[in-house]
Amino acid sequence: MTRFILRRLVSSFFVILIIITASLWITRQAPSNPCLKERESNTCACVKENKLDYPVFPIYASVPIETVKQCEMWQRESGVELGPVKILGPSQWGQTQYVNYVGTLARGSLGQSMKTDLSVWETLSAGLPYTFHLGLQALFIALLLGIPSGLIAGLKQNQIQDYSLMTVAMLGVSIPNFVLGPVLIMIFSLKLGWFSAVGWDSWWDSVLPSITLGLFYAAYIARLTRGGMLEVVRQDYIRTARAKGLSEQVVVLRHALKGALLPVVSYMGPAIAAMLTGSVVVEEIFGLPGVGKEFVRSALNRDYNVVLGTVIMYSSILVFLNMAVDVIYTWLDPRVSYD
Amino acid sequence: MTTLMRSTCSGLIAASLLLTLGTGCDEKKPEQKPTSKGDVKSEGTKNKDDSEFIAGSNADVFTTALAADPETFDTAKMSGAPEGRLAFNLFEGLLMPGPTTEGLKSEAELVVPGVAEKFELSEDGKVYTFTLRKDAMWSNGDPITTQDFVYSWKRILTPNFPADYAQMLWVIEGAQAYNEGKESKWESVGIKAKDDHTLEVTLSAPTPYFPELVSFYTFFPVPQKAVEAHGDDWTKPEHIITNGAYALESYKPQQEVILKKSDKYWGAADVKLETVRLRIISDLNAVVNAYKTGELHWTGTSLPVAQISNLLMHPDYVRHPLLGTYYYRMNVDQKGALQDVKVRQALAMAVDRKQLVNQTMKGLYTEAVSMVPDSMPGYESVGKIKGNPKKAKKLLEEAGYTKDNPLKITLLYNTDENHKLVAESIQSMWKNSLGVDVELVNKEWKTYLQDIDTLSYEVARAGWIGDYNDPMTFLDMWTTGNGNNDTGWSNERYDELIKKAQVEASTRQRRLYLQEAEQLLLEEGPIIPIYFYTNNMLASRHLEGFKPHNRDIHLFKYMSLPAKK
Repeated sequence: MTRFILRRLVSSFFVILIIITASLWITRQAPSNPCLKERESNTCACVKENKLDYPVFPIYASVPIETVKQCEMWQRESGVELGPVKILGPSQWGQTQYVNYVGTLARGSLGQSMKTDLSVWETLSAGLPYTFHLGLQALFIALLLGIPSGLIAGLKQNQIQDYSLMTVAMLGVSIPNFVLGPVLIMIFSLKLGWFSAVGWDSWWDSVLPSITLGLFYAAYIARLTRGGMLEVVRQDYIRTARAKGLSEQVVVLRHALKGALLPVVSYMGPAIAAMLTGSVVVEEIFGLPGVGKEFVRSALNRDYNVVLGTVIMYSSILVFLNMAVDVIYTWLDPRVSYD
Repeated sequence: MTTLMRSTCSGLIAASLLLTLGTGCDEKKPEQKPTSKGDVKSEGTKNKDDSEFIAGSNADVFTTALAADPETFDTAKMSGAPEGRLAFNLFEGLLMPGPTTEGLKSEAELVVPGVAEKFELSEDGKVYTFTLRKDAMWSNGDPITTQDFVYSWKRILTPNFPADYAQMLWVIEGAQAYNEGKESKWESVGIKAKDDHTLEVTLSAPTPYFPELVSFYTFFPVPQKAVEAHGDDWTKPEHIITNGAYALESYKPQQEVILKKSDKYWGAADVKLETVRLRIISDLNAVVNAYKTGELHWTGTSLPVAQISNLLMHPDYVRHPLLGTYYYRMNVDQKGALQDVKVRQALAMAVDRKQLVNQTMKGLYTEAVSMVPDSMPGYESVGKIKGNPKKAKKLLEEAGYTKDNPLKITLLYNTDENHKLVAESIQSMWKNSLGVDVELVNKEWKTYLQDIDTLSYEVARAGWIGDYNDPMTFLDMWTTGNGNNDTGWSNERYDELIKKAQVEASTRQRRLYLQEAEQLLLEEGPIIPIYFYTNNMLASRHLEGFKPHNRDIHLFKYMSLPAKK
């Protein structure tokens, strides 16, 4: 098992490196640049002093260099020498910027936001606790609602319980969160006044967003559990368990459920990642201070460093969760072995 | 200031649309009684009809919304509207904007004393001598002296310093040359500290709006000690030192900024709101929702048609004129139909502004037939555009475009509900009255900007918010080669008129030059004015001291709320 995990860690490292390479290249292909503003200014305001790292992007330093007028730095062919620091021109980005960026990462930093006064890490860490909190609560809701209803539906196949639960699940899968969120706000905040409509001041404020985010996954998990259950109850080992004279409760909870949950577990990796990343819309609707917003905002602003920072964070989460799922698999299904 | 133009970025148009539909249905729902209560919110959540929501009933302190996370707290570097809201309340310049721009008798009333208790102007209109008050202090108790202003202004004028608005200081003698690195001696710049409390500023030409410039945040002082000790980090809440009516209590990115009344402020006795909470809410539907649930006293930002149109009758709804023009610019640089002045005139004449403003925009804005907004005090535009579809058609025919040879143009706008409404309406007007085929192209904000900047468009939406209450802010941008021209338009006579106005000492003669320039711009220029912006907001009817300001500058120190019963 240790060897397996080590092997996965090494391959994960390369996966993330490929993602970084591709993202770095793609962000530079997008039209426009971080400096362009509606109003012309004589210097590039977004070209900020960057004391944190080696300058991956053109920077301003307090020593006057030759005038950078109207963001022409971005159109320059060659770079600029600034004391001991070298600033790269756009034509050199392809070759050298990549090395510098990876070098910055190797020093354990994500660089500086090109739009705000915060470093990328400060930007992300301000939002991460909220996004994680929201994601975990949504996960809790998804599992708490999804598994039992899937179980019941599976055991009472083609009966009234099955039909009604699956109808609800179908609705849950079909209603997108940008509909569900506003509807919940309308009923519970504006009409009933139980919750505040916007923001996150206390735990209470996280209830509606968590439900909005979690309901889709609850419905999906219910359907997966039901499907798994239907398959498992027909298996030989369940018949054996029943033949041993075990009570129905023990058969279902100890033997059948473990097998029925296999598809759910393999879905868990991408689902958790999606709950963390997919909260973009929910965060916007409920005005939450999460990190999902940065994902969209930085892309719109061409804030290259924050874009890459969020991509690296999300891809690391995804890669890690998939690995965790594979490990849990070996425990749930004894037939699976990686060594 | 132009950042205002850009409605909050949103990839969630679908969401906004649905939400709007949702709230629109409220009236039909039967009253529901809450069966249980949230444990956190207590007072003010009593069952009530939507139309009777009480602003701020769920807020402990005065609360308003900021449309975006502030990019910086450094007054020298900022250029956006949310940053400006913070700057005007945290910092104080030599002069400060007054509470309102309505009903003023003269332009001098636009500003009130700030750190300077008075100023004198030399007879040639070029030398301003400011006398600083002795009791002005930084929030750490240090006195404010002329040295603070010299340091701050020099910092902005340092070549390549990332200040968006450095050009505002160029009216000062020698400032442009120093800023562009053509002159390295600071002594050549007309900023002189006579003593600790007397500052003499020499301008290169008479600038009647200089007092208003000085009351803008780019001219505010920054604390030298903190900047030198912490570099870029001086704006962090733990390091920041301010000199305004409020001090920065806390800042949580994407969440809130809390301001607390500064007891070091010279005018602290008159500041009534002890604490101000600015919640960062970027989604405009969310802002309206927060207002309806009593979490806000003031929406803080202007709300577009979709969000505000069903609240127009609400007693909290306010509409303030804004010094801004929504217009279309035409690219005259490319070899195309738009190079012909007749085509440009025809397009401008064929826009039915009344119908557009009253029907499409629900009467939220006012019709624009000139470049300079009609809310500009002390100025009247001449040569206003007269809508005339018949004449427009004739002009177009003279230019060689008929039924058999229709004019085809593309119209570019940045992706946004409001811009789309306007573009579609104008598309049909041009089609119906002129037979012009208009292709609508919408692009995401940054891509749109690049197209404008590189003149890769034919007709494009644009907006401009004035930087000060003088027609010059709307007119000097159209001179040849100006960085904000972005149309390729160049007219010798126009350039000459603007240049003359810039050095003219007589107010009357200066106004005549500007009027003539505007007339020329409207007749031959590359623009089609469409509407003048207004500020459509929700603000508690109990909020006192909240008055219309045509540049959307609202200082919390002027406001007060009645004591809660």
